[in-house]
Amino acid sequence: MHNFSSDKKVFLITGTSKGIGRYLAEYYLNSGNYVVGCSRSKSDLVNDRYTHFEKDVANEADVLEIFKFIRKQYKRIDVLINNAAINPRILTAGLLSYKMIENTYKVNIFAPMIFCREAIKLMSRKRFGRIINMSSMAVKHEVRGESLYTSTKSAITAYTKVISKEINNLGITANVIAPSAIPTDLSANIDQEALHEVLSRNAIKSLGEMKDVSTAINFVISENSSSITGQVIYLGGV
Amino acid sequence: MNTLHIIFEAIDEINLSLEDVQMEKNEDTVIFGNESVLDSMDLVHFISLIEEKIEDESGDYISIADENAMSLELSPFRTVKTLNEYIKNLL
Repeated sequence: MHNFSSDKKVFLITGTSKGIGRYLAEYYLNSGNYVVGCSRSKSDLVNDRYTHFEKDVANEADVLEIFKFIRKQYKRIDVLINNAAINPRILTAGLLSYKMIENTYKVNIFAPMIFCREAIKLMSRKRFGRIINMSSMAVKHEVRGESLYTSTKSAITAYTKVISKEINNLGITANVIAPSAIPTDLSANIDQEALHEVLSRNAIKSLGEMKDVSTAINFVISENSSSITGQVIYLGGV
Repeated sequence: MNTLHIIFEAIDEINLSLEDVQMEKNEDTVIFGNESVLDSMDLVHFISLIEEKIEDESGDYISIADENAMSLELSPFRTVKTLNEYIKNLL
């Protein structure tokens, strides 16, 4: 077990095996913080301050196990980033299977709500916490064929705004970061022609960069950002 | 495990964060409802303190969140006594 330095923050980031989650885990480790990450697959990220859980975020028992570790190891959590999400194949609403709807809602909505519930309880002990829920520009653009994914991201946005009002007096803020399309496995699954058509609606028409996400997150997780809550930050000039 | 003692310890801690009024340490103390000194977020904090103390003592985490938590009639958090009975049933 490493020596825990209390002047650094404890991050819990979901979906850290690849994409934005992996980037954020490395980014916050590089600045000396402690990161607990999880994904359904193994992680090859090796760092003394990183702990990876190979878990299903949509399984409540798995989530509770992660929090049990955090309570034991760190006794606190400073920042929760609900990043894990699935973006199913583009499909018109008339063809969505029940299983597809169920799986997408479990990962994109049920999971972040359970993570938030447990994080709020832990954060409330220290009267400090920062919750980031990741959304998407899809909420603004309302793209054909993305009704399922978009509806989950709209839901997480509304949920975050409501909880921000509930938890404010516990010293906890909750905000939404909604990136533009960033080159990841998730965006690679999307029809590239459709993706560029959607990007053309943004002020910035090129793909976004990872640093856009960390810059926005740094702003809202700052200890000085205690009054910035219930906000949705769209990246890319949406 | 002395669950009533755990609840009383949590009351001691929650009192540190209450400014105007304090929770009394007895079995009739109202935890949730009009007569409670706790608002809904204090209640979340209070519950998390109890969960933490149970975990520290037993090594097991139990979630004492309940869908009836905010129900005036059904909530296990009505009084210290009902909460104590509820936790004993969970353990």
